[in-house]
Amino acid sequence: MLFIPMVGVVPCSGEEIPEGTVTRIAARIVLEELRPTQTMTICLPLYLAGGKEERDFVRRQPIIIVDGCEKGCAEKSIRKHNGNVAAVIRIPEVMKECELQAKNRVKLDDKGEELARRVAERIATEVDRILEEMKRKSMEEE
Amino acid sequence: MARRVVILPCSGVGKVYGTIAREAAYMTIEQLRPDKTLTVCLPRLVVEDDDDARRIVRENPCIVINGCPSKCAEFAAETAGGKIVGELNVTSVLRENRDLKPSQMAIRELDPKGRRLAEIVAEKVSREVDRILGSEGG
Repeated sequence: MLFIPMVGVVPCSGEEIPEGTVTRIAARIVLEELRPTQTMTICLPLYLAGGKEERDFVRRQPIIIVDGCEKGCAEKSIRKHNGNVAAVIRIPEVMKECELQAKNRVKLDDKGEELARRVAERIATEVDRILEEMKRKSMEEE
Repeated sequence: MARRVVILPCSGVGKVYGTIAREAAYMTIEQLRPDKTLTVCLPRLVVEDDDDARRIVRENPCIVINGCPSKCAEFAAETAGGKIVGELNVTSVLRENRDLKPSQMAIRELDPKGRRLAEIVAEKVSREVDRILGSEGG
């Protein structure tokens, strides 16, 4: 199987809560700074609306879900259409571990930004793990 | 609770227009019409087990803010049976304000042109809110 070193990062971007903003900013940090050549994102609303390219991408490539709350809307949405879910990161769990909280959904304050960066680092670690696993499987198949 | 208008931006994370839709929604909800509007997480409308979110968009008038012509926010609201009474498209507002073309890379944080465009969208949404609630006698 052809090894394409690309991982999808899909944040819920929930509008009601600051954690939704954290998912969004964390995803952008990964895409723009931490792993720019190894990651892509899709617009979740477009995927839900039946975007063909988005649906094909999440079936073909491993996806890291970033959900802002325990409802897990992004994960449910991706799994509903047989997406290739490789990891799920939930903001409340990261908040508990690093004792950081986001308070403003419009613009993150310093602690919210720090939380987003911690989440981004966790995503990047997952990206490395997933790509390493893909590479190993690809070599085994050859 | 008095009737409120539900503002639903697409928040698309892949394009700057999604950020503009999201920021315009927040400007409306938190600054321009704080007592008359609210929002609901868009993905909540599409997952099947969230009756609370669906009830909010069925029982209140909704304005959708689509970032691009794909109209994804509208799709999500319709899927949930929402009462859509207004729709704005960021790219249409950009066509009316061609000097405000934002940097396509300013997704995480809008540049000044993107921010101004969001303000214009928010002002349009606020006028729609007044029209909707006014016509209901609210």
